[in-house]
Amino acid sequence: MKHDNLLANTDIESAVSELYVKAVAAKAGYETARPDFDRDSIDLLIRAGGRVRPQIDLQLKATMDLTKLKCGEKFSYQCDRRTYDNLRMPTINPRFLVVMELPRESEEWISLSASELTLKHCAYWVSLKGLNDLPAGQSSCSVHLPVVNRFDHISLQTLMESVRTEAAA
Amino acid sequence: MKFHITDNDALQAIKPMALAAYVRAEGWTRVEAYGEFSDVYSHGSNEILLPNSEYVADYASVIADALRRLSTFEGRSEIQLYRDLSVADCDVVRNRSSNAENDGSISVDEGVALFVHVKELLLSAACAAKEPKAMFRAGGIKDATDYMNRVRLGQTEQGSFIISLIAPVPMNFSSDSQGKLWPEKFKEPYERQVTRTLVDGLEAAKKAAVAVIQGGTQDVFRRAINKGLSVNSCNALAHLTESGDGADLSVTWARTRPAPEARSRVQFTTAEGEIFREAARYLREVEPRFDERIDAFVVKLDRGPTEMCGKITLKTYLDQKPVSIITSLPPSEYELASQANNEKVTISLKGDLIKRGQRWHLENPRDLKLIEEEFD
Repeated sequence: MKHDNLLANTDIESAVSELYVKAVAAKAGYETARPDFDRDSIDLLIRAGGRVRPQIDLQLKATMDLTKLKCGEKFSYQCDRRTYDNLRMPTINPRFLVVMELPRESEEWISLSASELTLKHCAYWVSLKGLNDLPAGQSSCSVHLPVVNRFDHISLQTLMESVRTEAAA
Repeated sequence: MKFHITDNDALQAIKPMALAAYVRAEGWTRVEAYGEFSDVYSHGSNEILLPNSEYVADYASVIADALRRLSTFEGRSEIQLYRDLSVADCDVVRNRSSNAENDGSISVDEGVALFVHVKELLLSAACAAKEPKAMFRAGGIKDATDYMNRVRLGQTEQGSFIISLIAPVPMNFSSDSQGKLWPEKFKEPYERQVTRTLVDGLEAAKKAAVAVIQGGTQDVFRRAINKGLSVNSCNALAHLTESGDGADLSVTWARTRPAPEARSRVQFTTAEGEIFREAARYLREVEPRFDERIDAFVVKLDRGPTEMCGKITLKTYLDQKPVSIITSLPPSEYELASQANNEKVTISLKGDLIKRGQRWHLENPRDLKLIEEEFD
């Protein structure tokens, strides 16, 4: 057992979720960048090429407790007020919450062999744009991520195309 | 070394209109809308996204990105670009003093005097824009006072000692984005009339100074009053040129209200300072001073036995100098003046002061009263 870890488990969770999103963006052929400074809870931005060069801004979360609602069509994720507020306000570049589901055992988050590098489970996305104000004093709320909103290269390309289309509309 | 501007408040201070006006003036054209809150501009193969509203959560981020792209495109630092953009919706009046030390600093007294006299120049232009006159009294024109309350003091700039006044000016909604000719002055908003009057007055002062050096008479200064020259501006110019080893004044025109030239500049030498000081004295003496209130002693009364009105001579101080003033009073006021003369008390009256030859005359005397001295 090593004792020289610099990162806490929460740091590693963040790193894994970022790694996941960067891998998906790379497969989709897009550029990723970290904002130069922490503003409005945005962790990563993704830019596509072509006409209008759309960009989306992402807030990344990782959790081992992504619970599915009874209907089976949505996950519930507890979101803090600051993140909720920053993601629901009007913006020029659309913002999304991306939540990565992680295995319960941290040893399983990343596995590596000569033949493959594996990140277990996956991430889901949701837009909170235009949602209502939280009541005064409420510090967090449940947000629902559709199961169909899996964050993969196909959904990312579709998302980017819809951003491009809506922007030009 | 490259610096990036990341301060949220600083980025928020750049207004969408100013940014759009700036890029248009630099040759960018709007291609299309990008969503509800921004537009795409292009210049050749370069594209840039500019917000059209400040009320979006990622305004500062988008501005930061635009600054970075513009900085790369123009080959200028973000700091230089930021300085231009933050005042792109204002006319910026600058005075460069070459009296600074190598590190760009200046003595406190000189620095304070520079601010005071540049402000006085702009104030006199604000007054002259309402009505050109030889001399203005402090607070005499409300519009000018209100205007000056909206003028901001900019950051001093390195490279000799440069002070700037940031003067507000409304945006031009005309589709003609880059004016080829100046519009008629009276058709401009008052704020732009002020800065144009400032430049017109400075240019007139320069021409008049050159004319005097070439042997012309001081009358050239009187003719420049209509351009915006006044006792006040001559005094301010005299101070600026004499204390600052010459003066280098300019107005950078707001990009949101384009002008035929990006910047107007007038330079003065130290020697011209003496001419302006003399011009101020000359204008003060030769020009009527309307609606002036004076306190004076009555030193001479003169009324013929058959005359109703009487002539009186007053002794007072004008501009800290003792002077005699002659005026003619109707019977009731003449009696009051006579009483003041007998009782050796001061009178106070209003009128229009006009100099004829070496004598001051008070025309339209009114509101005469005795000033009762109070003693402990």
